[in-house]
Amino acid sequence: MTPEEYISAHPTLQGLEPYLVAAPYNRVHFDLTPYGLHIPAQNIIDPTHSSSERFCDLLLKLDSITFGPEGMPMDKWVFYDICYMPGSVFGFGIRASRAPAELRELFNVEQGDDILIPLAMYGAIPMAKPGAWMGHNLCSIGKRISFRDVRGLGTLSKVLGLKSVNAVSFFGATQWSSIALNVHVKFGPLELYTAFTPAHSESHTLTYGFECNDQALLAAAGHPEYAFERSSPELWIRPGDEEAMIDLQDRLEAGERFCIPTAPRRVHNQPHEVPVSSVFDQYDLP
Amino acid sequence: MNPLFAHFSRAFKDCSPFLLATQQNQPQLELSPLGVSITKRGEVIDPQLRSNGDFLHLLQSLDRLTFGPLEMTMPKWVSYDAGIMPSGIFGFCSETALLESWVKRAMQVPDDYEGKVPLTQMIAIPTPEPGSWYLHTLSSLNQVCMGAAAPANLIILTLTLGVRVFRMKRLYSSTQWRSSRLGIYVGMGPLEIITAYTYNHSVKQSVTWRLDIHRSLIEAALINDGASVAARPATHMIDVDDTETLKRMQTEIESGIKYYIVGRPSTRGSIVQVPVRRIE
Repeated sequence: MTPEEYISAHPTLQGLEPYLVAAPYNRVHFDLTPYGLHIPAQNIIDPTHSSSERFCDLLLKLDSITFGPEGMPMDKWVFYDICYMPGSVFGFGIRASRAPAELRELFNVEQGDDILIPLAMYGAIPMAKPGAWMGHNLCSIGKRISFRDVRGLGTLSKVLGLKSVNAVSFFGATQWSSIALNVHVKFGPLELYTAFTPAHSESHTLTYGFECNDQALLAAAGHPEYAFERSSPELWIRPGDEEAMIDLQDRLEAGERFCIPTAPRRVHNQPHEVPVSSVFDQYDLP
Repeated sequence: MNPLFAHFSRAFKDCSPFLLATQQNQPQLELSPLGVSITKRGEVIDPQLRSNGDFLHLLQSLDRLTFGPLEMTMPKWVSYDAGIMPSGIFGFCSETALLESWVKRAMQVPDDYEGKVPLTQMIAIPTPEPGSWYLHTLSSLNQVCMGAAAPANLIILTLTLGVRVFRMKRLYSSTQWRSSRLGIYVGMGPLEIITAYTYNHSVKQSVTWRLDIHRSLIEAALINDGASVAARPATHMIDVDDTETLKRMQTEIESGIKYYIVGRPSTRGSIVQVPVRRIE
């Protein structure tokens, strides 16, 4: 099955419309048909245009409903200065005219409104290194709606969002305790850049990266023909174990390389444990 | 010292440049902007080293003091995602011992801290348009304690060197119409207005603009006080508190009319006006 066929037939995406928010001077550098997915012209949103205000306000609403990536909604200026103008926001939504009352009420939208209601969004920021992008905001309506199952929509938004911006390498930051690590490792083994991060609001944050090629993106999207060889862990980090994080950080600063090869495992009395293994250049990591 | 910096000798005597950038980003950045060697005169700081945590804390203090009154303080995680990771932070800092004690208290400098204290910072994000950057933070401690914390016009030195550090060919940003900061930007060239009334910003009376960067104009901005020599005469003076005019300009821009900010804001009484040039 080709990537285009796989994405086109993906059950989670049926009946949903993709959208892209990006400044006009940026979107000419983007792929507006990622894996063959057509973004309707009316869903390509220009954040500098007055007509975009209503939809951008619905994105803010989605962010506040889902409490944002760090447990707090983002201010409007952060969206504008950080995502819309330098980078992009990609996601999926459903037309108000086709949305059930449950969803329209959540977003305070009338059935007669000709507007897309966003169900998931992925915001990414370009980096100084050509082709590198930093993940900033990933959210999905998830279980806050009951009329359909949108499991995996956040991951698919990230996959197609990164494809649309032609990302070559990807970087992200997340907490050791985050269940989102289960999603991130779908993109392959994650090379660690920091294990203890005082520069972040939460020092128990790790910074990771991966090569953003078709293998990574399609494996994350669940395409059965794309998978990774993954090494066995050498150690496990528990989210509350600051000493272990600092020890790992010291080893990174000394020049050793590590990755998170697989998803965390469940343990008693802890959210999970995160596997870590050495990197010996066996992976294509950024 | 380059004669360009003749008027900034006090700034260079009291302060030194810093560049906060990860190992991955450092090769993409210019470490000797306009001939000022950051490594010799100041320092390049890796934000991902644990030992630099205190300096990062002080940058957060600077942001809180300068943007806090506007309710636009940047959470540390946003600074990480939108500054440290994608590009870097450039600015000027001072020896702790040179600062007044109340400045140290305001900046929450730890009692046992002996490192440098940041006084200005500039943060920009590259865009997919090659050579174009979006500036989202430019601040100076002088904004909140004029003349007592940092040499005058340190912010101009930060901006003019910063555009070289980030190797900018084109600069985008959004600024509140009332901000005196517009006068600093327009010193580097005429600002093409992208939005005159910014519907998707927390402060809608913000202007989004872009500026093509030319080395000669940057150097001129260091010497001249006022609008750029590249700016053409204004056709209108815009009252920045006249919302209807700003909305009308926005509608015109959306229909293809071009506007440029060509001079510094002027304030008379409670009226702030900005000179613009309209081109059909």
